Amino acid sequence: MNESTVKTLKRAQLGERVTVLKVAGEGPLRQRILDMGLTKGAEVVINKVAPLGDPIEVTVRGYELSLRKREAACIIVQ
Amino acid sequence: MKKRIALAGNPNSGKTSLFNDLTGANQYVGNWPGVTVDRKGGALKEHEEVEIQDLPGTYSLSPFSPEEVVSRNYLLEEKPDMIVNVVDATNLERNLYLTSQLLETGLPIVVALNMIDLVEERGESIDTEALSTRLGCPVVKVSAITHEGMAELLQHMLAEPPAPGKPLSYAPAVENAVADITAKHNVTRFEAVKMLEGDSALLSPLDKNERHALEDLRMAVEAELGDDIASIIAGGRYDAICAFVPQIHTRKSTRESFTRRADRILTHRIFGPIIFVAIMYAIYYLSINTVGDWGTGWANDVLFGPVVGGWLAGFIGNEAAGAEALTMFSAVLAMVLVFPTMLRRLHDLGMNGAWLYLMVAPFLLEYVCPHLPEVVHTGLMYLLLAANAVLLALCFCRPGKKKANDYGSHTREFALNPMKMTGRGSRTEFAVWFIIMSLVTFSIAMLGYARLECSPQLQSIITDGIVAGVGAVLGFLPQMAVLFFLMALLEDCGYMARVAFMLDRLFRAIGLSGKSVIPLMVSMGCGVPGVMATRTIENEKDRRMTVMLTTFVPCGAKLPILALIGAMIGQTATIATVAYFVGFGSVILGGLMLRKTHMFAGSYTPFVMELPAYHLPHGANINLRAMERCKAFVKKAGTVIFLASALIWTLSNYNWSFNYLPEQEGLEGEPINHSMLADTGNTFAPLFAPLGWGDWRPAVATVTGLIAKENVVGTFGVLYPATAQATEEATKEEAPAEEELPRSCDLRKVNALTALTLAFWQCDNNVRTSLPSAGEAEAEEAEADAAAESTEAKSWLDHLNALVAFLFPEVEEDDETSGVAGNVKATGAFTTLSALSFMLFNILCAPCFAACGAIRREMNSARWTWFSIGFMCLWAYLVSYLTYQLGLWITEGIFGSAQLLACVLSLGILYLAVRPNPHISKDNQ
Repeated sequence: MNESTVKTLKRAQLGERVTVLKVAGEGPLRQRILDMGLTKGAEVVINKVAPLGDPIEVTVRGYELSLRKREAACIIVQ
Repeated sequence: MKKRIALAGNPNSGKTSLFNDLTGANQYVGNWPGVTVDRKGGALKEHEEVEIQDLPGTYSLSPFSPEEVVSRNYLLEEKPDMIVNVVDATNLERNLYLTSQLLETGLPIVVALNMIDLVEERGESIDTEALSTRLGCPVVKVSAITHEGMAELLQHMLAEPPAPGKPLSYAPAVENAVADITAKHNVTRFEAVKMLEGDSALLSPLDKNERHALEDLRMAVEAELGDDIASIIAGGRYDAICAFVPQIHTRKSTRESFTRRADRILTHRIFGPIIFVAIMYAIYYLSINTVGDWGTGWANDVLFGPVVGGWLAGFIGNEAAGAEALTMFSAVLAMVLVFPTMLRRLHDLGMNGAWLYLMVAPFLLEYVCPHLPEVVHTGLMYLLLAANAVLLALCFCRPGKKKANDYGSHTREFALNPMKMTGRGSRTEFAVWFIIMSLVTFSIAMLGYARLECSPQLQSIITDGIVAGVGAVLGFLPQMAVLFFLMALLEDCGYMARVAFMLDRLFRAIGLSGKSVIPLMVSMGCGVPGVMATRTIENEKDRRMTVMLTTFVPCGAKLPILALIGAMIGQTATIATVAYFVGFGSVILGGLMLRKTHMFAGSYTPFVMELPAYHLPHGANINLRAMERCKAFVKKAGTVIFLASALIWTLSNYNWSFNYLPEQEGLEGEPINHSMLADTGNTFAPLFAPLGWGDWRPAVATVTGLIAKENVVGTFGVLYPATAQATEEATKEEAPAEEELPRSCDLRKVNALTALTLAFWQCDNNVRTSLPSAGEAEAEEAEADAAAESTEAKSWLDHLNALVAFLFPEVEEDDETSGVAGNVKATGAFTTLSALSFMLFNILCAPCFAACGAIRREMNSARWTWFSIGFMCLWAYLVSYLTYQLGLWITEGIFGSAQLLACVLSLGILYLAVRPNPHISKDNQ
């Protein structure tokens, strides 16, 4: 799989249900994303895109989380 | 030694509500993540030996934001005797993630499943027995709102700490590595996991070989599980939680949650922003234009004008106060004095919301009712009267519950301090204080009959200095109360997080994050809570930038300045618009410029934020918050502004050899021109000459504005006495005592003007055309007053209104002059341009001392504090300079070196704002 075919949360469609494979990136931000429950195997539903196109709102582990597309791009999903 | 119990849990899990319930403290509770910004301690009610710490919410013990650091450090370093882990039962998985980390620390834990009522409402259930067995620690179902389960929680808190719980297990490879480290380094499980993760704080004391050994261990685990360590640990915890949560939590796949359905509309692409604008408009309309305006109008027109002024005229002057003035004064005083006791008694009766009614009812009676049709007016009047009677009867007669809450009898203590607002009051206490306060009130009012005939100096300092200054500020209390109340409502229900979500993109464009929306919005009310609210922004650079920019937004205290300048120029609507435009424009430009400086460059802000579930606002929370802020406002007015008013009065009435100037003979011009204030101002004045207002008076007003922005108007009131009127008065007055009333009336008008300005700006075009100038605005005001009087009729309030009518003739005479704005205008000290530049400088320059204090606190560094204050002042100076000099060029066609400099400067600012960021794309430079 090369870079362009890896599916990230950013590319997922609105309303799509995906499973997290891996969280890329590093440092505290990555730790935060993991702490918030976006770990391997977590189911994520893309709920909504903010009025100006960014950030997005997802449902993960039964609650609503908002994150920017840039952060969503770090999350590799299936 | 005291037993220390820490409340720990996720943001928004209800820790603070629980804390309030357990300690009876008035703490700030909100429904956007991260409302508690510092940890707060309190003693358990009735069990003073138990100390409870309310920690800021954290999602995990690997800290990300400064508030999480506070929590983590407390838990790990101070090791409380017990942790009460507050878990939001509606969101078990993520909340138990923190629990899993807490269990690893080995501290005794009691899990409080909060908001259990919401879970049960949905027809779901949680098996606490199974959860307790699984976690190895007691689990209690509680609800801070319905007080369910509080008794049980209290028992656990008072009992011996339970044994440490059973930590969740990871994959075998991790478990082996952890066991290895625990044995080798003699550390807790939590520390072992952290060491495996490579936590630098724990690794630094180790020697090189040990670190290498750990490194190898980590590599082995990573290789075995095919992932990196952070992911393995976090994933392992979540996996362990997910393994048992479905067994203990019976879910019902009901229809979509209310939050989801509400969000469909509230954060809709198109409707979302429209609703946001509508809500903001509604808030400002309600707080400033209608309810708040009536209250403020009443406070200024009636309370601090005729009532307090009239009483003072009798007491310290030599003028008999009318019986009506005394009646009214005693009524108001009684309300103020009995208020705390009443509040305690209402707490006891479980009627916490009644305070707002108590505050609003008098304004309704006095100000709104007369505008309504006769029948409605009379009806409402009797209704309110009946409500008051019922309330009073309840306070006197109803015994109140023996147990205030379900978690144990909590005896009412007799408050020795009649100003105490918290806790519960018994019937006896209420009766005692009620009678004492009534007597006090009555005797104070009767003092109005006494004529002390104080020296003119004392009369002047009290009426012109203190009553005028503090009164002008307290007049804003009704507006503030309504604003704070509505803001609290929004915060509590969870809407603020949605605002951040919707506007994040917009704010990122100027280098801030969506989370900066909250501080900026709060700052429109007051900059102090605005600055405090920045604590939720995780990224340090973003937080510092928001702190630096947030006070550019015109806050409530700056409104009087807008009103004053608006009235002077006669273009109130435009002025207010310009002020807000420049305020927000400064935030944008400042953001663009600062982002490109080396201090703020290269920071990328993550925006990972929980959108909490909406819930119905909890009355008590909103109450407490709104009341807290009102109290803070009154405190500020009562102390700082009181002292400032007295100081300014002294400085402006005495010269350096402490001679009372108005009594000096043979002075040229106004006595104030020879005062200490004038001399001080004169030294500062040249600094402001390039801005168009090099006179000492505006310079002094700016300095006093630092104490509190409201002071600018107050100072103008003192420094620009009614000159047109002075001649008139000279003919008719003998005793200086007569000066008091007109003087306070001048201030009254400034505030009436404030209200009018805003009414104006808030889009009423009809009003705009009919009120083009300050003079006419007052005419209208006088008309409204007259109308208010004429419609008064047939009620017990008659004599009170008659009093108003009785006192108004004097006021109406006074209407010929035109308030402070008119006085200032008459002196010709300001042109339109210089007035504009003065206003802009005062809006943008360093905020009041209270806000500076908040900045110091948030920046946590003297260097940064001075840097931000310096930045604000410099920016304010620049903006005013550009406005004035370029304005001169455009309007007068003057073009000199100053204008040239202004052009260069504005081009420079433009360059700084739009240049490509040198710290990101280096190839551009």
